[in-house]
Amino acid sequence: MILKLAIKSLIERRVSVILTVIALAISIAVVSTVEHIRSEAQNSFNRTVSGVDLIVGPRTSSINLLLYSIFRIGTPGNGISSETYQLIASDSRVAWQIPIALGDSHQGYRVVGTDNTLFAHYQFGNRQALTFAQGQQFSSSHDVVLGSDVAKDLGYSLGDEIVLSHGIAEVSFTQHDNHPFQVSGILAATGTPTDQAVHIPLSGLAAMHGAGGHNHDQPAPNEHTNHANDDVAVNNHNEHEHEHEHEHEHSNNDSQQAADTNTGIATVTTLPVDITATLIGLHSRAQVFTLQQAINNYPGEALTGVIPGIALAELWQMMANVEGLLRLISVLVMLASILGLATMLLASIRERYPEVSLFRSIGVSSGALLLSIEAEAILIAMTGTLLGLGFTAIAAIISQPWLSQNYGLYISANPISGNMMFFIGALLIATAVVALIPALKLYRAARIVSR
Amino acid sequence: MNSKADYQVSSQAIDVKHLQYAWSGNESLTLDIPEFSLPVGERCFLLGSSGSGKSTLLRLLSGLLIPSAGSINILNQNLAAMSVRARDRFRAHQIGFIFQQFNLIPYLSILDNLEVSAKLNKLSDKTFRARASELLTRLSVAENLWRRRADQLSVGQQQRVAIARAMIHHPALLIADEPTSALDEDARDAFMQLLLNDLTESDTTILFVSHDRQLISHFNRCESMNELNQALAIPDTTEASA
Repeated sequence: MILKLAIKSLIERRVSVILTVIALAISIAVVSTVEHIRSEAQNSFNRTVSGVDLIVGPRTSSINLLLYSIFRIGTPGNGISSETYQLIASDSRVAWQIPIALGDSHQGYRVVGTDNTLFAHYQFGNRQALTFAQGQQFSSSHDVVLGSDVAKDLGYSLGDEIVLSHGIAEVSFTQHDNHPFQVSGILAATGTPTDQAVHIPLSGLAAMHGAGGHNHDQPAPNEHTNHANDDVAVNNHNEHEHEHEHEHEHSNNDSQQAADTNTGIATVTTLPVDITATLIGLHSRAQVFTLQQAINNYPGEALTGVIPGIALAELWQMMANVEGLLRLISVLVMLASILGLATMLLASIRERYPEVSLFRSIGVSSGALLLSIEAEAILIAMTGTLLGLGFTAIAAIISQPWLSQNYGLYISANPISGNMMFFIGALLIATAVVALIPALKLYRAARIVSR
Repeated sequence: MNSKADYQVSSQAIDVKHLQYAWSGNESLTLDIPEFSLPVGERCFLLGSSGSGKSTLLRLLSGLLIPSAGSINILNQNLAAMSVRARDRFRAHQIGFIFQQFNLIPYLSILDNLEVSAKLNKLSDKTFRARASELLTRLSVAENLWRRRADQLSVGQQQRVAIARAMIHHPALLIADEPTSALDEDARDAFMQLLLNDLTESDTTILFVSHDRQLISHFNRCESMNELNQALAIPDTTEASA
């Protein structure tokens, strides 16, 4: 009965009630959007890469390297040389490595030069491997493997021809139409930036960038010789490494093997182009720190080795202050709207005196009248909360494509998380407490009925 | 309460003795009634103008106020000895109120207004519906109005619904406070007819307060606040008669 009366009373005061509900809804939307994006970003980032023990790129900050190599955020710096890549490949601790060459785009989607190791070893989420929705991995330098979003958004299917452009702008003046690509495979959706990537073999990338008209299937070994200086550096390094590592023969074997299988399509050890970064998997995770140290101290080339989990933790730590500030703002915004609610109810108390007097005469207790004000406050708060969460869910759905394309962020539409439940609970309790101000005023009026 | 004398006392619907009341912070008494009683089933007209203390008396009789001194027994219950909640419950169950105006919550429908009283008396939905339609039909409130908001009715209709609201739970004591003041003459006569003859059972005690002497003829007993309330006997020239 109290609930029914509260609802009718709210409907009677609908204009001020609606305004109050909207104010609350907006503040809840702000709070839940901040909270949702924060938790979903963390979730999304954390599930983007798994199973990669070390990311190696040019000398830069670890967060920067992580952001552009995995999340495709920001512009990659210099590359790392083919020799360094080979050297890493020859290390006995390294089980596999995935070369990543960035810098090109196709209709706004990043082109990732890589090799088939990616499909074999890259993992996301809870150690899930990449799977093909259609087709298969690279078998020639003209092959391209599309992320699921790319295929869906651009309407490509297996066998379609694609012309790639240089640079990462959506519209590019230099189109590499002398080396057309053909869709050989489409990956299953992962909910990670992989969905937004256009994967091509490194040999294809080399051909695309090299002088036009040469044999595409031969990954231009002559480009290799351009890195004369690097060669010296690597030689130095080899001698240096030799002093404390017993793996030289191993390295020779690998090089030999690489030379045999070097088509630039399957796993390569000699690279046709400079790469942006390389993702490394180790035989034993325990060795990751010593390898990271060796890479960071490598004299031949300025390198950075990053352990993804640690770099992510650093990133969250960096964000913690901002998060705290956003939380504080959220709480204050929420407090302001609860006070607005109390003010609205307080202003309505005086016009309720006649009905209070009537209710008291027919035997309604003062406590029930106090509860009816509380019920009205809670109803407003709950309506505002639901509306606010609705705003957030709609905003999440609308901004999802944009967030995933520009920031590699995959956020769900459901804004209700454990944290948010806690927030909503706190809001309702705070509302009940603040609503005591008008409720007690009505209660006192009810105890001293004046008619 | 075993003796015969006690039984006689208990058959009083209203039994007021040495009642005194002063509003807090006020030196002088608003009410000073040495004795006033009303046997069960009696219908009493109480003549009183505004300022005669009648509103205070009615609030004391219904337990909304408790006396500064003296005792009030309603249907053999000492209101002053009850807790606030018990008085609220007692009022909900035993007393029906009709006021001059604002008898209904304006934003509730007629049925919702009646339902508040019914719920306070824990009537089942079925009983409530039957009783409401019986009363409203006898009060000639057209059925198409029952789900209308109360403030969409005419004053006459509202006062008729007020009778239904006051009577829905068969109260032992009906207190009417100037219920006809807002009505024109025809509506007033129809109202009195409905209230006294058609709706109330013979054992319903009625205390009807008004300044309108024309209504006295409807009652078998008449009292006047000027005589009851000794606080008014103190020379006080501001007292105006209606």
